[in-house]
Amino acid sequence: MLIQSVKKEAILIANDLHSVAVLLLLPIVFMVIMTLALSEKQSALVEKISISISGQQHTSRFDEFNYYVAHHGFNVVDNKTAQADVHITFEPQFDQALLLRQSDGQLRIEISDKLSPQIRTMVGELLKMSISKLKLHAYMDSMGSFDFVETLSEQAALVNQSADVDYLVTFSGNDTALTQPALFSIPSWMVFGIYFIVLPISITLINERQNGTLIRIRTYPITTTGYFINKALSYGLLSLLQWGLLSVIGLLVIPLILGQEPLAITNAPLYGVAGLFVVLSAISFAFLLASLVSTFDQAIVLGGGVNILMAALSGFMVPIDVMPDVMASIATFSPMYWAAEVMRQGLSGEQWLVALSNLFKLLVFSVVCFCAALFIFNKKSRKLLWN
Amino acid sequence: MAQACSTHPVSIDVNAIEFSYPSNDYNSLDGISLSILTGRCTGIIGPNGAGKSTLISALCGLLTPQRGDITYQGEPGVSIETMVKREVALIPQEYAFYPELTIQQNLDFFVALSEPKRSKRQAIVTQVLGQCQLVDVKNKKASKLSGGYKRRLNIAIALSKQPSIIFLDEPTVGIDPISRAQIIELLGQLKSEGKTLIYTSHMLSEVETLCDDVYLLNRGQAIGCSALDGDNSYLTIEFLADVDVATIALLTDNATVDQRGRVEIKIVNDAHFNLLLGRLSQAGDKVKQLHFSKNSLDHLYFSSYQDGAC
Repeated sequence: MLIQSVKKEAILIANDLHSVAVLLLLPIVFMVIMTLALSEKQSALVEKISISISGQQHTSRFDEFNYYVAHHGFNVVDNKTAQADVHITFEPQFDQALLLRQSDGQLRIEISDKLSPQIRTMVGELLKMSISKLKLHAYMDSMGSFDFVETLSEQAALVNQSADVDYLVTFSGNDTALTQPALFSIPSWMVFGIYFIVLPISITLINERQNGTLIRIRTYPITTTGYFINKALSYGLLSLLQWGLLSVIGLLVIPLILGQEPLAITNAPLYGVAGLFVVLSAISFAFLLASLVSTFDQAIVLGGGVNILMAALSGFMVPIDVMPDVMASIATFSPMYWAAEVMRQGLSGEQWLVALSNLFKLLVFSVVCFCAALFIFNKKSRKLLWN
Repeated sequence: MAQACSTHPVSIDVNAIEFSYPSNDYNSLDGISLSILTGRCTGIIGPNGAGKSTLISALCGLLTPQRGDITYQGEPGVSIETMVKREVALIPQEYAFYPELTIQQNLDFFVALSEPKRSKRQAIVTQVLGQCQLVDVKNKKASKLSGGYKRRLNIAIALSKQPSIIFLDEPTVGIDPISRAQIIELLGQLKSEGKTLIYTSHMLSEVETLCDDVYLLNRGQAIGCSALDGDNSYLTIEFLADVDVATIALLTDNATVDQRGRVEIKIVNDAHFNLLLGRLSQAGDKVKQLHFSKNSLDHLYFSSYQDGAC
């Protein structure tokens, strides 16, 4: 019977374009869009930003600053170009202010509000670095460090060498592909897609209630609880298949398309168990919502709406570490967050003990949702009568 | 005790059941007693709100009456729910199947709910496809079928459970006359195979064609019961002026007078009919019109709802 049930639900999903869209296309599109959007390297982003610099054009500091700004990768354009993203103006007292601090605000920077806040911040930080180098350059110049160096590029090389701090620092924990911004969100979008199984489940339950199929089934030698569990198992198997497909696409295909290393599964058993628990929680939650709704409109609004809100709260759309503390702490109570975290733990090779907390939370959430869903389903089924 | 329209063995015995929905201040089933006879087709008819759906829901175990009892023929002590799951199939008015599955896939799914053995399941599906003339279209999606085929699939799914009792709700709604005739013929075959059919419909001609017994419901009560396979005939007499009691008494002792002053007499046999004609000749100057009719459901239906009794 389970085989027939799985077959039936699979055919119903395959024949429903909306279901296919939300279960496969939606998460794949999200993964592709988000990874592509985040795959642009900083150097490529900087190259796109045009900067015009004006004022005190005949001083050496002006040329040196131009050099450092261009060296950071900015597109330095003619100062008469009004279309530039950033305008920098040297005020008359700049040279004196640079080392001696005789006056404030001698370098005016206007950044176009067409740039996003994140890019504006990045531009501001890079320009400050350019100014710091210019200041070091001026200091070294005053100290006679360039007495035997003639060209600006040679002087700048000396400045860069003096300002270099890379030799002091060793970064650790960023040696996996998952730490790349572009690929970090892939597990999140996989979870997002898996949780959207609420829509096909709702559609089938509503249809069965409305067209008399459920009444008919009540006269068969199977209890409503048995039927419900059978249905949940069927969708569970289909959801596991969906998880497998999304794993192949998200971990292998998309990184390859982006020219990056595939996301390796460092702790495969943990990743597999994580998948089981993610599916379990998604199915239980979906059945709870599907049992509550009575119409297709309700299913779309409640099922879709709750999932989108939960994804937003779970840090899928805005990283949790940039959220205010209150929101970040709310996120840690979200099942989608636990699900994405435990999948990342499997990918990054965390120990079982570390992942146990998320697995346990998902299990408790699943049991509570499933029991509530079963109770509501049975209650509603008992109310069904012959029309 | 339940009213029985015939001497056939009883499949379901309903004894003075009462049921009231929490939202209503009246009984939707108000002491109904009736018997569903084995191997016969029993029609349950009545106007909207008469209690048909509630009665069928109670018979199928979908709701439990607050008073009275329902007994299925069979093993004593076995609950209605168990008997329903074992013996009953429903054919709702809606297309109670999956439109995106083919006929074969629909049948495969439903038969798997009742039959665990795969080999038996295949045999059942093959038999039902043939019985309902669906073999040629078995691989067609249900949503692409015509109304007639959809109705047949609705019936085929019920038959795949191999029930002895089948509940049908308007099984021919929305289909063309040829398809309707084919379905009526199919249901007739089921009856001849010994299946017990319980039929609800507003199409009286269909009920009359198919049903052996009919129960008329009104306001939660069975106000009439008739065995339609009898050879009952009626003589309706319309008088020129209001008829007096003496004239009616002259005719026969089983005459009834309706609100329009027409006298209706159930004819027992040919001798009775001849006797009536002889007596009528004595009151000839008062008779405006005579009408002779065979027993018809229309007659039963309208006279019952006019008079409030069978």
